Amino acid sequence: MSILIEISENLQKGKAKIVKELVQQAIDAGMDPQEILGGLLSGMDVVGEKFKNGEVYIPEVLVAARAMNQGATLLKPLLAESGAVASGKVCIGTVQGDLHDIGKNLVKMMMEGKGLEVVDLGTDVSPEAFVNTAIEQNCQVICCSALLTTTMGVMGDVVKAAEAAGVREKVKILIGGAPVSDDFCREIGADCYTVDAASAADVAVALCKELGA
Amino acid sequence: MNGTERVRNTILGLPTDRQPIYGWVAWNLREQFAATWGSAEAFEDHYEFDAAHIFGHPCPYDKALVERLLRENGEVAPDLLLEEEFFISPKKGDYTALRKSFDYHKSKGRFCYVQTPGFFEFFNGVFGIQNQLMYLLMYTEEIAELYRRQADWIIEFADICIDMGLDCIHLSDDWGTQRDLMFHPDLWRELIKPNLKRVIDHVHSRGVFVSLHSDGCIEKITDDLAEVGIDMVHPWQESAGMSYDTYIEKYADKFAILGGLCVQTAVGILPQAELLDEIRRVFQKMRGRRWVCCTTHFVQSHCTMEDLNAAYDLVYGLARS
Repeated sequence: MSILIEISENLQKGKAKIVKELVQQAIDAGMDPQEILGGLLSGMDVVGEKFKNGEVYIPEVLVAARAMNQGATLLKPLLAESGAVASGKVCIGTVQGDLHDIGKNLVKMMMEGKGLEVVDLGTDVSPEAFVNTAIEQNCQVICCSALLTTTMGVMGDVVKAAEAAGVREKVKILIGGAPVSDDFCREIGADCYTVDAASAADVAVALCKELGA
Repeated sequence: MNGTERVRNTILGLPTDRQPIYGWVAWNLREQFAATWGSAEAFEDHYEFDAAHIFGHPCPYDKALVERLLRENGEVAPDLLLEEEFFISPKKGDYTALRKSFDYHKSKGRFCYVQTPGFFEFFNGVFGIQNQLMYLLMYTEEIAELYRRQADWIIEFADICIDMGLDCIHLSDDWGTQRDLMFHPDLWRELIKPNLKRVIDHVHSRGVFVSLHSDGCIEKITDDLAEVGIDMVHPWQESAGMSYDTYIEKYADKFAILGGLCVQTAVGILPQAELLDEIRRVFQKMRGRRWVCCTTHFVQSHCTMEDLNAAYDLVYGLARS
């Protein structure tokens, strides 16, 4: 079995220690870091797809993402040296007034699993912080999460803040969370709503591509 | 018939003089109630609430211990807790506030159910939800043992509450997301179901009900909930795909529902006319069944008192019609 397949399969099982060892072995064998990263991402892709289809649950995603991070940590400096670039950049956060972060974290993991660079702003993030980060760090996508009906309205303020800063055409705004819907997305003028973390990652990749990342 | 009798009969599927009414209204709206009604209690009295959610259980664990373990290890993993005296006996707790609240609501004839920390929800406070979700896979045996010890704690706490006269032990344990369970139903069956059954069997042996709160979609385990003998489920979240038709078809003879007024899609969300239509729709479907009309969660602060008053005016009328 090729080491890349082994990496992918162990990642899917959440075997963080083994994934780390295999990545190190691949590095030591002189494999291209980008190729090794491909092994990690393909594993995460399978997990994301299974999650989207209801075949696996949040714990399986979390342990797989943990395994991916173990491997990715070893690759990071090598990828930087080789000048490899991510397939897009997203800033993500839970909106102001809302401290729930598991949904946001899942989306982040899925996005990283798709090879996107993700700037995690954490929870309780103001509209200005989303927009300023997008401008300063050249993010193609702003991704907002909310669990509460009391805080989902802040997503509309993020759209307005992007308009006020004159960057609305340059950045796409993706929203999600339990009380959010397609109708709400249209109402506030955001670009996309997705029902789950894996779909959010797929959409973010497409949006980055659309903006020429 | 007072509230206690009305809710008891509803849970048991026996006749009642009207549909029982309740709502998690006070939590976020204390100031608004003070300004318009004088107090949340005045609102609850006006609409003749039949039930009361009693809070005030003692902290089940040694917080200082967890802080120390966190300092020393950087992470509190389940195996560490098993080596320590983690749980504090509920017998050491102070029940003054709980008893005061119970006495107050009982004086109004209400059915009193007492908040109890559920298995998964309780350990979210200890591990953090993300860690615990991973631990379910990484430390399955250790988590099983911790949940078993927690069931012991709940049973001990339940006995204290039952001796006090409480009508129902209410486990608060969020397992659902908007479209599914957070974790695999087989994990739930392995880790939670046996402990839940043990709690229910014990509480039933004392002649008291057990209710459950779990947000989200938990339909993959509702057969199991019926099997272990749960008496009432809150909220049966229709907005998360929990259909009332499924309840009516499969579970209406097995357990009651506490819910119906959705705070995620209706109360505080819809324009008033649409909100009232929604309430009529739910009543049409659920009236006369084992259903206690209640909000699906705390009414949020963006709900106006005008809308809440209109909603409960209608609920009050429909419950009697």
